[in-house]
Amino acid sequence: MKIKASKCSCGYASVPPRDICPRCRKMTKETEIDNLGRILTYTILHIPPEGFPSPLYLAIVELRHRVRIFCAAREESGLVLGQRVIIDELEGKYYCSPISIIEKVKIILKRAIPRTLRKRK
Amino acid sequence: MPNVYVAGVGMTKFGKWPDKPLVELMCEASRKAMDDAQRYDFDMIYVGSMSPEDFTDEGNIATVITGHLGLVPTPAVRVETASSTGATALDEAFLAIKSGYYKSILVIAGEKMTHLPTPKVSKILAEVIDHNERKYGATMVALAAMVTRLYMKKYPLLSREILSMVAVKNHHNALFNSYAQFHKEITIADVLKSKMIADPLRLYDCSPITDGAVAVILISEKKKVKITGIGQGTDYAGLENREELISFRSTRVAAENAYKMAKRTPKEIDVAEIHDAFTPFEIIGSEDVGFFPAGGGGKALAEGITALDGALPINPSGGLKAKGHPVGASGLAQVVEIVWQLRGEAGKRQVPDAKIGLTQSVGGLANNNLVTILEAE
Repeated sequence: MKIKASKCSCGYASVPPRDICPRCRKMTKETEIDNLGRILTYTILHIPPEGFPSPLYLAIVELRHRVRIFCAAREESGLVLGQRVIIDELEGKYYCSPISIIEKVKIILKRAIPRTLRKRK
Repeated sequence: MPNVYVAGVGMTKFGKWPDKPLVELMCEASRKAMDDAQRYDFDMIYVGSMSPEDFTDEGNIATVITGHLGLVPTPAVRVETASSTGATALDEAFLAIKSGYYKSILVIAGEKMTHLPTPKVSKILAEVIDHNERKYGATMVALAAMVTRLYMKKYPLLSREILSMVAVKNHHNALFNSYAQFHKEITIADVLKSKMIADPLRLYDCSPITDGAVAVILISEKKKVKITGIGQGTDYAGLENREELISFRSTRVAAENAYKMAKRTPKEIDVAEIHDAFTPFEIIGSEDVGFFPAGGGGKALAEGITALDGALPINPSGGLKAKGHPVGASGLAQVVEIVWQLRGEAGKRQVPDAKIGLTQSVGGLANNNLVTILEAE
């Protein structure tokens, strides 16, 4: 899955996408970012607002290019600072969960293959 | 440019006023300020209230209160910047006098909240949060908790115990303030066993729900207390677009401008009121206004520097934590406390020889903050 973001020529990317760059005020372009990141911070909210279950797990995840994304988690396990997570989307909301071993292997392979190809050239 | 002086101040006791409407609370504070200033006519009225539409189903409040005070046809306007509303109302009045157009202004701020059940109050307060964050169920305390966790990771010296000491200190100070909502000494253990709200923040880390109103009269004619510097700054409503999460740029910008206008430095401040809506905010605020280096606010607190008898007392009034936090009024209530301190009228909580005072007010989750510097002439 890719996450919709906006990217500016200054290098700053934002989720959710913004028309005007929050850093340099130039017009941005739409882009997509990998759904992998690390938990920057989180909380377990025991008194959520009306209409939300208690407790509520909330996190800010840092994706590539230092893009920060506000999201929820489905359970407490994996809510650790610096934890590698994968983001999925459900009904317009992002959720983070710890990266499984299979996902980790996939990422390693994905990163390793292009590097080998480059070496051959 | 004319100078701006404080001619009079007044406030209601903060707490629960089930039988008094918001307008009545505001009128009471206004009449006290008028008697204090011995002035009963004004060129302009600024009224600060965050959400009277939602809390008490009232609109057009500036006009209504002007009528209740018998001050028609004086011009009146309401201002709003979330929880820094009271400070912004003062800021606008300061600029209007500074411009030379008005010579005397009544500034009123108030909020009435305690008649509603807590989930309803939380919902109204959460209206100031960024839409994207709100759809996940984020509340003010949840966002403050996320900031706190990141701060404690970067500066592990800020232990849970030191954080609790903010509440302990401010509850102690409030014992000497008859206007405060709480007159109850608490211990670190009380804070640590209070109900967990948003990990790592507990109930006693949070300011209460409060009714109350405040009024300040500003004039261009010389008086004992002069406002010498003001500054305001904004930040992105959502945390994800901020450059920093554990220091508030909006405060730093506001402080920089206020010091520049007053031609003062943080070292010259004798007493301060810092927006402690959540205990970590007093620590972060004390760093952002330049009293202590980044990460040094907790250490200063633990060493007693910010205690009532310390070198730089912070929140002698009891702060938002113990004096109470009627959201729209708090920014102006901080100014009232500093005026009393500079006039030497703070009684048992008087900071000796206080000549220069500072207030820092936070709007929303620190995205519309103000700093005001006041001096005794």
